[in-house]
Amino acid sequence: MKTQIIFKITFIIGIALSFLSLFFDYYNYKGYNETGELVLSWNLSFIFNWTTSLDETSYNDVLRPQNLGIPIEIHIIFIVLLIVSIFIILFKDIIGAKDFKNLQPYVYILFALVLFLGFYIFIIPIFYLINNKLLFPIITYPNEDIGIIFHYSINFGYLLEFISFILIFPYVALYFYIIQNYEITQDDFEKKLKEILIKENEPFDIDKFIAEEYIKTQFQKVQRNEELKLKSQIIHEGGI
Amino acid sequence: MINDEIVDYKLRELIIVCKKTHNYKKLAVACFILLSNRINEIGLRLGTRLRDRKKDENIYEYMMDINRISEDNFKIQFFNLELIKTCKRIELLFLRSKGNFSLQQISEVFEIYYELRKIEVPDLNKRLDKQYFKGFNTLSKPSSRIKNKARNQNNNQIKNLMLYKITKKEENIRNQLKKNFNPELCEKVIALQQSIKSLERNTDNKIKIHGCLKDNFVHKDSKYKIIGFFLLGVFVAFLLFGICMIYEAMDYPLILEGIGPFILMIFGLCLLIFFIYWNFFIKEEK
Repeated sequence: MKTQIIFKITFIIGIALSFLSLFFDYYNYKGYNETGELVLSWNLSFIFNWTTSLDETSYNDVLRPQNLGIPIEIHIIFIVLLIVSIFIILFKDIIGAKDFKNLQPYVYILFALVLFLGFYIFIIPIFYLINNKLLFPIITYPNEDIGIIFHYSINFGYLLEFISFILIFPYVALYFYIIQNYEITQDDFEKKLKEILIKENEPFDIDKFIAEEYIKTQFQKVQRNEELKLKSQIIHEGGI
Repeated sequence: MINDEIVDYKLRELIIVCKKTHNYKKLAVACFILLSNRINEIGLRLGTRLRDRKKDENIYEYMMDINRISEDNFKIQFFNLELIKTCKRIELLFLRSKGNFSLQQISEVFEIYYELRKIEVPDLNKRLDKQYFKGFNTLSKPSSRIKNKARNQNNNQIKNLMLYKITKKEENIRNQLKKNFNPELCEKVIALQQSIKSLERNTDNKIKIHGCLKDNFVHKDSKYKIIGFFLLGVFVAFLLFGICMIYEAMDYPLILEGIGPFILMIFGLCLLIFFIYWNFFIKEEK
């Protein structure tokens, strides 16, 4: 049980880190001139897109990276998935579940969450960064033609997504594995047996039997008392 | 349905009150109803048909029929012949006298009833596999679900393979246990036995468990599984990371010199993690 609790906690930490990662810088793109002065600095975060800390110098403006064109809807769906996943882990836990069939839809949600994390750590670097000539993961590239040393590097945002993938994956995999391989059966054999027996057996109301006999004894008692009364009346009064 | 303890308590009450009223007929009738119901329950638990009351099948005849079925299928006689003989004598007497029994005869019926109560009946309905039922034509309703197993041949093949593997594993552990007793291994054997039983009863190759996962032996298995999944997660994450870098190196071969050792490190780590996962989780399972 302890192990599962630990992994449940790691799952929650993973969710929290994923959420935070959206607000941290995902990628940095910097440039230094020959004197080592920072002349180019752009940071990518999914919520705020490309931002710079530098005043608009000529280099910074000219070498501004292209907008990656990642639809904002993806991040919104991701946030919704994170919230739903928290709900699943808290209220639809697989370990204490009494029916796995009801949990089937949640597997797809968790599966989608893992796919989205995969999107952040795999698809974005390949299809959005590298294809836009933004190198990965940490590269220093001197361009002698324009006299700038470019510095490309992933940042906290990416690292947090990467770590949260590792933290979230085990619980999701376990969830999927259990749903796929196990099935909870209600031990309904005894229930069915009882149902058949009630239907097929001879009806037997033992309480009714007892009550009938008890009434009979009471009746006999009353009868006996009356007889006694009558006899004593006859003895005392010498006739009816 | 009331349980046996309550029945006993109420029977005692009925005996006391019937003795007061001298209505032994009611006692005899009650006792025969109990006997009839008990024998029905036994039959049902054994997976046979119910007593045919419409055709006035006697209790002793039904007992003989159960004996015949168990003799044919399991080479055992379920009811003692002496018991059937006594039951036959008493039952015929009961029918002829229309329930007018003496206390002595009633006590004999009680003896039969309590003899039947002593028999612990296994629930063969839910435990037996199809192979036991060849030529077992008298099986009624409850056993029909066992027959349904034969419907999906493909499922059965996978199931048989799973059963074979689990049984083999169980055998290995048993051999280990013979050499040296280990409580953990013993628990493992029990868990495997449960899995075998679940598989035998199962139609869709899912292992059936009762209650919730945390109350089952398989729960322990899931503990190791989750550690395995953690390793698998680390492996997948680094693999994706590595693939990104290879893709980049293919696009910009110039940077390969810089990130080459890094790529090697990543894939080395991946291999190591996969090796650990394979050896401790996949191989173990096989």
